[in-house]
Amino acid sequence: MSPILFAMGALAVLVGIGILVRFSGMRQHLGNILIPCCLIALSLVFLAITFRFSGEEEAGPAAIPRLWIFLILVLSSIILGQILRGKDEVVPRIKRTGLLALVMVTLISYFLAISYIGYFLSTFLFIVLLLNMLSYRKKLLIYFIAGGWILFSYLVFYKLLYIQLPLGFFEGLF
Amino acid sequence: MELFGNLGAAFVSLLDWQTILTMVAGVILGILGGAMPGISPSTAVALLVPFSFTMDARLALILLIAIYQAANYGGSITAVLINTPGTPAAAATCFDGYPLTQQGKAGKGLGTALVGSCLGGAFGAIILIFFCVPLARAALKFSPAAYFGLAIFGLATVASLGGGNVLKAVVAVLIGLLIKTIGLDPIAGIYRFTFGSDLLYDGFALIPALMGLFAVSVVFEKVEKWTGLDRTLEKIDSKLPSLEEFWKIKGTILRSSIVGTIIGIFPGAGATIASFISYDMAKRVSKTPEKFGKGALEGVAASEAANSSSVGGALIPLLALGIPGSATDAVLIGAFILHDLVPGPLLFRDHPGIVYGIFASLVVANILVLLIGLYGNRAFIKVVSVSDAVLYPFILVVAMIGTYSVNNSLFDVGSCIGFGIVGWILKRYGYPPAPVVLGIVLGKLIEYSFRRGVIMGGYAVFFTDRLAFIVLLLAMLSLSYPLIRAGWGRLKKGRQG
Repeated sequence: MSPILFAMGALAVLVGIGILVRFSGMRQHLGNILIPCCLIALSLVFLAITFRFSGEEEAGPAAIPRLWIFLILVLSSIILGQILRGKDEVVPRIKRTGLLALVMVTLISYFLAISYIGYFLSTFLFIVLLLNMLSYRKKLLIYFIAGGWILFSYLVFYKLLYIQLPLGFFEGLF
Repeated sequence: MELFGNLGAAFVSLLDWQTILTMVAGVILGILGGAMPGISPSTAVALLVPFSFTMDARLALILLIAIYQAANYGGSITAVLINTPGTPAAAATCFDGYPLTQQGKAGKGLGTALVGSCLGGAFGAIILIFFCVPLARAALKFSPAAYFGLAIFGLATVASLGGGNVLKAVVAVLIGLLIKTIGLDPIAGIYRFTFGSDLLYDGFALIPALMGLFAVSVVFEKVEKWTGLDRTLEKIDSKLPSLEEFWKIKGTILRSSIVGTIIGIFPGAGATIASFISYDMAKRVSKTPEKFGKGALEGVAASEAANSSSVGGALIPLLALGIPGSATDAVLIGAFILHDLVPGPLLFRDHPGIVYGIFASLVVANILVLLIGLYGNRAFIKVVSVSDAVLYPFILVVAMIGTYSVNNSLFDVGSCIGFGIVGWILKRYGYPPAPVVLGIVLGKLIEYSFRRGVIMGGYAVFFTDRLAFIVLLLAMLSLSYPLIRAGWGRLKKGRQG
């Protein structure tokens, strides 16, 4: 079986486990259960890939990855067993789920935007957005802080240290 | 004599304006980083590692080590003033530091913390100087199998002494080790787990992992518990303890410095454990134990001397063997690698100027902490009052530009965000991120030593090589000890119940 098919199968099993736990009595342990399950699934995918490595001599390229994979499989299974026997602590729910999700999405969007609108504009927008999200009270100061960082990074990183910061559409301007 | 000659030359080499400015900047950044609750010494050093890339290797390492040392004092500022330790190691400082502030004696608390930190730090540095060189000399004769054993021992103690669930800490180490196998195989030269992507041919770089796991994940963790409330630091009195008061705590400082240095040497034990053990010990031997927890200067001195002296101790296995003893040491290894240097015995032979420069700068950094701390505390308190709403976006922005600047790679920036999210999830469910970094840092050394050892002597080499066998046995013991202790505790509880 190809590793991609194997990975897709593992993902399907993980989703199934997630749904099963979500609607069972172990609901509050969902995260605790999914982490060792994910580790086991990933380890199995990696294990499948090691069989494609050429060179089966003693301590070849597959030896060390297989050793780590074997240990992850064993220890994750033990952790999973502990959770199912109720020996793991229930992790408290995230207090600010919405805010955290928003910060993560903004960070990922910022990363994606760098290639298109360049480092300077995307960073300015990122700082302004994040300070607003975190309810920074001095609204006017937000723009000064963001502008100050842009000026600092332009002078220090771009001009002084010669770091080729991505400029996106503004490539010709600088 | 060779040691003193090299050391003398290193002290003289520190006397140029560039080096002095670098150390002053490192100390100021370290104190500020340590004082900001949420920024640990490892985060402070990690955020600065990429920016040291363009610097001369010696200066870069002097800067980072000054930050590391100063951050341990910085942690005490907010511990004393607002009962919030800036670093985990300053938690024990709160016990007596904050009661002093409540009594209107914040200056005495800060002064004791400062003097305790500097004397402890200097003690740790001196022990580092005298122990590191002979250990590195002995390590030159170690076989690959012995190196494998030592690296495994380092990881095992980190996992077992890290607190919390040992199994999860070991899994975290293994995740780091497995991540390090991605990319070009160091011996056979074939690509592993690259999924056909040329971006993964060299595996994941260390800097994105450091930034993601130590900086980005911390921001997510703080946002998750966001209250929007700012720290309020009020005006403090600046009256320092008298010379008589300092004289009374000299024994506590010396004892705690010894304890801190010894604990620092053991991988994984680190500054936090050192400060708690020293605090407890100071209370036990004190003539006035009833004053502890109510503003005893001895308590502040014990905690601070221990956590600062642990820096010198932790640098011994790092410099002599190339094995990081703490999360910050793992970050420092990243800095060494960035400058094409490999910490370990060969560093002493090939780059003595750098090693002795580090020794000398650690001593001088403690003197600078004392001077800057004495005159700059008021300014630090103002900076530390900066809103978290400003601090966290800046941690993210600095992490992003820092990660990008090393290889000019947006893939690295994406990896950093990925590591940040994974690190936050792992930490949330009890898998500490520091062992993941240690696994990534030591992965190559472990694989290389293991395979070279097996190629040279077969799998039996780990039994026939005496040092390898002993350290592997010790690793097994250090891993099984917490499990045996937990099992014994349960058994005792069952009998009592």
